[in-house]
Amino acid sequence: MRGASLLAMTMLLCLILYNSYEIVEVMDTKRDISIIREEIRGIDSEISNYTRMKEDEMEEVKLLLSEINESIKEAKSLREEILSLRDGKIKEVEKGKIAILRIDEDITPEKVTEYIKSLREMRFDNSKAVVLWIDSWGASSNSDVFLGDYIMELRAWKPVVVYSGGGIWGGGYNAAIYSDRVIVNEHASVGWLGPLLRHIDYSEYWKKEGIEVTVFKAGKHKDMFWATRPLDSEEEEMYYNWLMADELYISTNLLDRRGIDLNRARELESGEFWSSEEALDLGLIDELGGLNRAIEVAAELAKVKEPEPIFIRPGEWIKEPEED
Amino acid sequence: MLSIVLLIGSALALGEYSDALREERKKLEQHKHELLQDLERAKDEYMKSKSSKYAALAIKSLKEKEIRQYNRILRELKGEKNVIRGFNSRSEIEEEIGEDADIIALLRWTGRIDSKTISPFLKSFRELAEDDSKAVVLWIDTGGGSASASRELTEALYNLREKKPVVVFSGGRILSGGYHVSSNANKIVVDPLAEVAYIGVISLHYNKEKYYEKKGIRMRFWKIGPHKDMFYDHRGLSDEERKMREESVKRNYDSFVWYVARGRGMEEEEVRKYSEAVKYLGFEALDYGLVDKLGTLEDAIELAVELSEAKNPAILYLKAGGSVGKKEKEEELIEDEGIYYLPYPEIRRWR
Repeated sequence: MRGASLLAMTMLLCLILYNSYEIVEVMDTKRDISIIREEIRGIDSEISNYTRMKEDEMEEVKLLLSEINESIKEAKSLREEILSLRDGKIKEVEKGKIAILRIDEDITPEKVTEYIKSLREMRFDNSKAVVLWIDSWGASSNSDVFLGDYIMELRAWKPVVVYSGGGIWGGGYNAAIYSDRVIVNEHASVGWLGPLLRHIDYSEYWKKEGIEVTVFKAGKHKDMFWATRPLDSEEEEMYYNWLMADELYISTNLLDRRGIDLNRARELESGEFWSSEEALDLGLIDELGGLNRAIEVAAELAKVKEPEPIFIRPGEWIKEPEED
Repeated sequence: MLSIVLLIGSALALGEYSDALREERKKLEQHKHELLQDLERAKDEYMKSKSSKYAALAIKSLKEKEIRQYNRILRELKGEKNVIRGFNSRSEIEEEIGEDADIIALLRWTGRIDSKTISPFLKSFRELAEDDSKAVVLWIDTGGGSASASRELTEALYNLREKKPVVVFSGGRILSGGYHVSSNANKIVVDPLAEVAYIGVISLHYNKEKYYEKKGIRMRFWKIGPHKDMFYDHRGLSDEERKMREESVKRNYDSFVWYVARGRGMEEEEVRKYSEAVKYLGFEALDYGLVDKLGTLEDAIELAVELSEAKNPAILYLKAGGSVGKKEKEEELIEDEGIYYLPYPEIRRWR
């Protein structure tokens, strides 16, 4: 009897204990649930905040893109006016010099100053048209924009034809399409369009090699290009900003100068490269042909019957001014 | 007995209830986890939308520059505006434009700023201050270099600016030391996509003690002063040496800000706002007052003509060390072949 009542007591105790444990557990879980619900509400509102801010930004982007579109239209009509004025001034001649300027490898700020000097002064030299013989796989530090601007300066005064025998890639291509015609050899390649940025961080490597690097700096981001550390979130954003600016430059350039729709242009910024034949089909270039063909086209545009090609060194131009 | 039955009943019910609650908590946690991922995505998309806006502002500014360029070209084509031609020598200018030509010196400069590369430019700046040129256009593209060399050059440029207008143009980069110098010109013209500022000072110390040990390289120094070997990489720095380096960086930084403030006519406090070593694109730099105009080299030339009130302008292309000078000085033009480019951090944008 005593055993049975002891058992009953123990059971009772256990049950009470178990029940109180469960009650505590239920209360805890309920509290947890309400905390999580609160957190979820917080996250939800943060998400909708970011989404709203994003939508606001995109609204502005849309507006800006339509303004860019308008600017492109305006620039186009101004360009057409410039070119018709130029063509109106071109008189048919028997013989005329066609200047050939070679632009090779990567277009860097160091080299571009020489090219621009030539392009600037060739406006008033004794050549009737200019062939830019470009073999380039890219441009750094905005040199493509800068070179392009001066191709346009020159083009206002005389026809400019770009010829490539090896290939025009990346920034070389971006600059090339500022000209009147782009003629590429049958065996050359075109492409590698799109922006590219690189950040290097050697910190792990240095650690492995037993090299300790101490950075003394003033200006929060001063060491961001010095390979000593990974980028912080602000710097990630900066890189992304530059990337997007370059991307939009390339696509609007394709829209403006090649008439390629903006979305299609963005697809073309894939880093792919194509044979010149494919590039012709994609509308990236005007014609397949050799240097002689480029000279011929330049002569046609300048209404020269017998072209005399002359090679110009970067930084030079044909000294004698144009006879009138 | 009844209480036991009741307790068992309540225990079962509680257990079930508690399980259900735990299940709900688990689901909610899962939901929260998913939401957190969504939040990351939303943040990322917001960041990207901000970058898209940045890009659109940049390209809008670029297209506006192009329209200004085309309008100028049209005026030139219609004969409403004179085109300013450039020449390689003074005699050519005299022959083509005339003896009374107002010479605008165009000095090109790309590369790193250090005590070796600045020498020809120090010479040019000094001579240009005294010669017949009406104004100077500096066509710069540099990622910067040494602080002391930048200061030397800035002072020389400031002296030149006291004598005649100096306009800086950059289509690519005027960063760090390059901006230090440029800020002391009268005006700065840049492309909307050019890179500007990156104001700050950096100095690195490499300690390769362990590396040398691993490779079996032993180094011995004979010195008398305890700090004489502090710039070598065979040991770490003492606290005292660290302090020296930190203070030197701070001094250079303060002087950088001071020079920019003097050159741009800005308050130091204002300059400090843009001195966290950020690389701004031209269109932003214009908003912050770090440059004066967005355009091409032609705009810089036009500005120089305007500031110098030149009536019959002609450009003389100069290389490093060159100046307009007198006729017989022309042979002295130093080619810039001696300028070399040191390895420099990854700072260029490639397209």
